[in-house]
Amino acid sequence: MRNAVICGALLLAAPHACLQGQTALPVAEILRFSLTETAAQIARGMGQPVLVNDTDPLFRTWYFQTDVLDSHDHSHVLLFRKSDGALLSVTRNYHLPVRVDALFPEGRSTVHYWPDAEKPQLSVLVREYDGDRVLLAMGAARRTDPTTQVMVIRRSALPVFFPWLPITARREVSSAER
Amino acid sequence: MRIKPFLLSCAWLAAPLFAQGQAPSLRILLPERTRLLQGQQVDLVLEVRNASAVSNLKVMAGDVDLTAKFSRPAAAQLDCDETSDWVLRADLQSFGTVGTVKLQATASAGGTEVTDSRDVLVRPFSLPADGVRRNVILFIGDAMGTAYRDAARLVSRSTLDANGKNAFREGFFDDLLEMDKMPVSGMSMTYGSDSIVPDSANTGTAWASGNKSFLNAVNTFGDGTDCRWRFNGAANAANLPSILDNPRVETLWEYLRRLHGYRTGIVTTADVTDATPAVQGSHSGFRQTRFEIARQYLENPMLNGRPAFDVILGAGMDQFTAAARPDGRNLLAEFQSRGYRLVTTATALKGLSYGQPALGLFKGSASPAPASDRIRSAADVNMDVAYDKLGLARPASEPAPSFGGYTDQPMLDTMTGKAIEILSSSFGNQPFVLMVGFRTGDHTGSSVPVTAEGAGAFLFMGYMDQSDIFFKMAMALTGDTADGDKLVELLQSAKYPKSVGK
Repeated sequence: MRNAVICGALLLAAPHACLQGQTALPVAEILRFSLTETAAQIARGMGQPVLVNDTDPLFRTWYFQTDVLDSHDHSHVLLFRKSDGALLSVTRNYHLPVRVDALFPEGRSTVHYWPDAEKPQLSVLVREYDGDRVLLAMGAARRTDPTTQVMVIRRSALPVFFPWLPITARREVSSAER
Repeated sequence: MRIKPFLLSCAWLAAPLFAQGQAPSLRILLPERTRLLQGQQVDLVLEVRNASAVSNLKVMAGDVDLTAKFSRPAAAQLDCDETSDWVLRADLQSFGTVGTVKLQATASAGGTEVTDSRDVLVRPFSLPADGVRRNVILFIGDAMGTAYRDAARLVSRSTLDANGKNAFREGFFDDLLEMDKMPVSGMSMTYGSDSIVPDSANTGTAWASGNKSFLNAVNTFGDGTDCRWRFNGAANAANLPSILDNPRVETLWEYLRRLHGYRTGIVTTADVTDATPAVQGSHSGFRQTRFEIARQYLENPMLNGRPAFDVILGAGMDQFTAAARPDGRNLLAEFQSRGYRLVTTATALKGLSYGQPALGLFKGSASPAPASDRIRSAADVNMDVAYDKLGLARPASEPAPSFGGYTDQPMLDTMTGKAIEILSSSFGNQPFVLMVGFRTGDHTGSSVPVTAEGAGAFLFMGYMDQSDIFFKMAMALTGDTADGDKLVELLQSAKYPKSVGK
């Protein structure tokens, strides 16, 4: 039942993956969010969120629970901008750490530290994707480090939510990624 | 060379995307219905938006001028936009005047006068003049709605039928749950300030501080930097400054300890830094800042850095260990250096006596480590359930319990009895306030039952808001002392003094 829900949720973003029965890495599901989905498309695919936070004047958050987590965290956190309904980020929480190295190829991934590399209190593994997407693995300092949180976020939103990440808001797409 | 284009591109993209109205404004970060006890501490925080500068601040609480209490304006990035904003703080303030206090703030924001006001209801609190002191024990069935209570009654109080099986006898029970026998019952509405279905943090904030707050908040109110972490799941070590800068409000446990010499305790079958126990003695915008909550148990901000509790019993060893904590602090050793006895087994717990403070942590993980977000340990470790602690066999369809080396865990009644024994045997014969929590399961938007016995129990009749429980507990301590002697007798004989339970 749970697989069906997830597959339904992802149909809108990656119809080929579901229709052709491919078995992607569990963590790769987050990349099926293009961040161009509308709230209506999300609702059609994932169903109604278990919780909606509508109290902030600028943002609206949808929480989903499609995984077995403790009762305090949600498996998916989707952040929408109220002014135009844009999906800004999707956060995927895992109850147990998962390996994400398949999503972060060597040479195309970077590690960043907060506040600095000398005395890091938090590390983030970053892969810049085509278009406006950036993939983050929180707490990972190497490609092989497991993590419990992966996020795909619009590059243009990084200066707002991760101002300490030295990633430009605009990026040219390389020919290899086209 | 790279910085300048980076900043320019940020401004180009972010400003039109995230900026809101440009008119200067001032906001007092207190809820619309702020209620406090006389002398209860709260952070007064002002946010000024869309202003090049802030000057001519004036803050009045009724006839009292609080202006000098506030810090100089500090530049801030509020609402995740690019406008020029400011924050002014007056931490740990309190109101001595009883009644509705008009809090009025006015300032010049870039030449424009801005103002905001709140009506703060300040309720009186004074202990009985005859010296009789009452104790409070708050039992929390975490998320325990009526269905759980009914299930417990059906399972444990059904009478045996002729075949020796649990069954109804004409729909009656020969005995009831202890909580069923309490003479007063009511219902509590648990809604949070932003949530019909709340969580342990903001419902706990309501009973512990008397004020409602948002989902996941531990005795704090919302502020303009919440957007960095609250809505996108990015609550991590890098955002800790934004998580911990929310206005704080003092809990009843802290208040009674600070002003009236009460001894305090928490007992739980969960991780002791879980939200339900945490609301008695910590403050954070996000409940999962477990390392910080553990630190505040040792260095409580409302108590001038003193420990929050005399007794802490439960699970969650990891949050206190140097191996898990990014700051490398060994809080277990630091508690011990402050005179706490550290126990990790039921046997050791039973050996404790007298009033020396105690830290009992009866379960942790084999290899404590920080979680990916670096604000908590990787493992959220609760004690094993009573069924497993009793060694009963689980059905084959259920996973076998894993004690992980922590095989000698106390039962909840043992922990509760020992906590009462320690708290009630101080040399100063001080009164105490104790929270005892046990986990059930889910979050709910339904009202939850409240039962009470003892002096002031009548206060808990009927429907009430969750935040009313705070004031009702306070009123129970201040009221008529005619049966005060009985309270002491009951404490000594039954180990369970007059209690207030939910």
